[in-house]
Order: sequence, then C-alpha cells, then structure tokens
Amino acid sequence: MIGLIFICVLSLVGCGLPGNASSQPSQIAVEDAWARPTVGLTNAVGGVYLVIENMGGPDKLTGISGDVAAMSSVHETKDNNGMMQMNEVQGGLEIPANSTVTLKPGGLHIMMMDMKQELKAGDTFKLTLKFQSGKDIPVDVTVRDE
Amino acid sequence: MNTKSDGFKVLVGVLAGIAAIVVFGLVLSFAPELARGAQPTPTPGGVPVGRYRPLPDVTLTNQDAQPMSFSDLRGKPVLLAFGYTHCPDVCPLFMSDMRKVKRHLGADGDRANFLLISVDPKRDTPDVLKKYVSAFDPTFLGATADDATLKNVIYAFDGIFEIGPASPDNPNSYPVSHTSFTYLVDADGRWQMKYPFGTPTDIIARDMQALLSK
Repeated sequence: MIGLIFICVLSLVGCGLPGNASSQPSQIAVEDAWARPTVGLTNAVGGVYLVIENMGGPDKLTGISGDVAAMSSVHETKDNNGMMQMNEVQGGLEIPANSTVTLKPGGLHIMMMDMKQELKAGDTFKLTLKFQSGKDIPVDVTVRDE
Repeated sequence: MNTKSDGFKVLVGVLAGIAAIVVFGLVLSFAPELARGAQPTPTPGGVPVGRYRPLPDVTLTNQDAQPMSFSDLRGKPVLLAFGYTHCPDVCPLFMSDMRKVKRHLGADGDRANFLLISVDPKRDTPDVLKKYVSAFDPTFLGATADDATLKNVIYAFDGIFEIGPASPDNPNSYPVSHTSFTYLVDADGRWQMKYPFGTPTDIIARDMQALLSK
C-alpha cells in the first residue's frame, strides 16, 4: 500500500519535472496572416487575422508595428447575450506554452488604426509582431475578401 | 458509556455524511450531461416578435445626408443592423451577411432594403457611411442620428448601445458596444423578426421572401 502511494507520488512529480514549461524559451511561428480590404475611408481601420503557434514556453504578444497603419493592437469581439462588445486586450496577448492562439473573425483580431493606405484584395503588406521574450517576428499579410 | 468509541462513531458518521454530500453534488452537476448524452448544436433561426411593434416616428440622416424616417422606407421590407465603421472585425461580417441575404433573393433582391444604422455619429458622417455601405453593395443604405434619437430607435428594437473607453494614446479609438441582432421590418413598417448574430443567411432570406410574396 505504501509502495503504491509512493509510486503515485513519484509519477506526479515526474510529470512536472522534465519539460517544466515555464522555464523554457518560447518557439513561435506565425501563419495564415490575412486582412480584410478597407473601404477607401480616410482614417480607416483594418482587421488582421493570423495563427500563432508556440512549441515552447509561455510568451506574450506585446506589440505590433507596420508601415500601413499608425497603431495596431489586439482586440477581442464578444457576443455577450445579444450585446456585441469589442475591447482592447490589455497588457498583451498571452501565448501559453505549447499552444496555438488563433485570431479569427468574430473573436481575437489585430485592429489597425489610422491607416496610411487603402487595402485592396490581393495586396500584401508586412507587420512585425513583438513578444515579451524579445522576439520580433516579421509577418507577410495578404488582403482578401471573405 | 465508552465516550472514546462513541466519539469515534460520531466522527465517522460526520465524515461519511460529508462524503455523501460531495458525491451527491458531483453526481448532480454531471447528471444532466449523463442523462442527455451528446447534444447536436441547434441551428439558430429568427425570433418572431410576438405583438405589433411600431417603429418610432423619428428622423435619421442617411448616407446622402438626407433626412430619412422609417415611414420613408415603407413599400419594401427592410433588413437592418446596428454597427459602426470603426469596427474592423464583426461589423463587416454583418454587412457581408446582408450581401449574402440579398444574393439568396436573386432577382427579388432589389425589392428589399438593407440598412446599417450607425451608433457612432461622431465618426460616421454621411460621407463615411456612404463609402462603407456601398463598398458592400451600391444599393445598401446607411443612416445615423444624434445620441437621443439613436437611443429611441435602438430601444424600439429592445437593444442598447454604449460608447466604450478609448486607448489612452488615441482618443479617436473608442469602441462602441451594440446589440448583435439583425432585424427584419416588413413593407408596412412593422418589426417582424430578429436574428441572432450568425443566423444562416438562407434562413433570413427565406423569411424575406415570404414577406415579398405577400
């Protein structure tokens, strides 16, 4: 009986020890980045969607920069019982260890404000995603109609 | 009386009681799932408005900077939603859903109106609205009004809107929360149905077709 308990405890501890995720560096890849066409407005806003894959330890998306807009940040849309709410994700977007975070229509998205150019279907532009770990990841974004 | 053994029995009794409550609680919380089995995702459909709901007699400003009231729209059913142009994610979804509904109607598409009411008159001037709605379809309508009138209109649809906080470094970046439903008004100006966000567009088109066939 004691032996059984001992083995259980050991295996629980063992699960925790190797690959203790919180001390590992993150391994981030960004894919499938796309944006909606803007509608030719002055002072328009743009929306960008993409997939962030992390094969390592936890990290956080803390900034986005690019030439097409003066400022960009991560926002989240939520349909709260019939009330559509859109809020900036404060303090950066958590990217947990060994996870995939998907930005897609109706949920998380990058909102670009004070656009400097129109975006038409077929255009491509570059953004840089900045992470808390210090990584700066360049991303090629394709503009497409849904 | 052997108090030690009595005390022990009481303790066992109490512990057993607690264990029973915990097990009972766990069973209760999982029981509905156990009883039901897997549930299919229900397809959302329109919610009919039970009784006659008149629309307020107010004047909005349309995308051509002209006054527009709901009575001006009579003669054609109207599919309308609330939103604003500084919303890059979900408001384009509302608009492209409206475009899909119009396509489902085929040749009857021009016998209906599609209207975006902006809850952000500060940024959504008629010019901005016109560019926005006509990018989705040249026949689409846009309208807005001052805050008091907007409240009147949105309350008539059992909805609300609320201006949210801007980013500290960009005062023009405020979001606006608003009702997520899409609303169907018949050709006599009566509000008939409301659709949760994401309702399949063929369901909405079917209801519009029914109004057009009357």
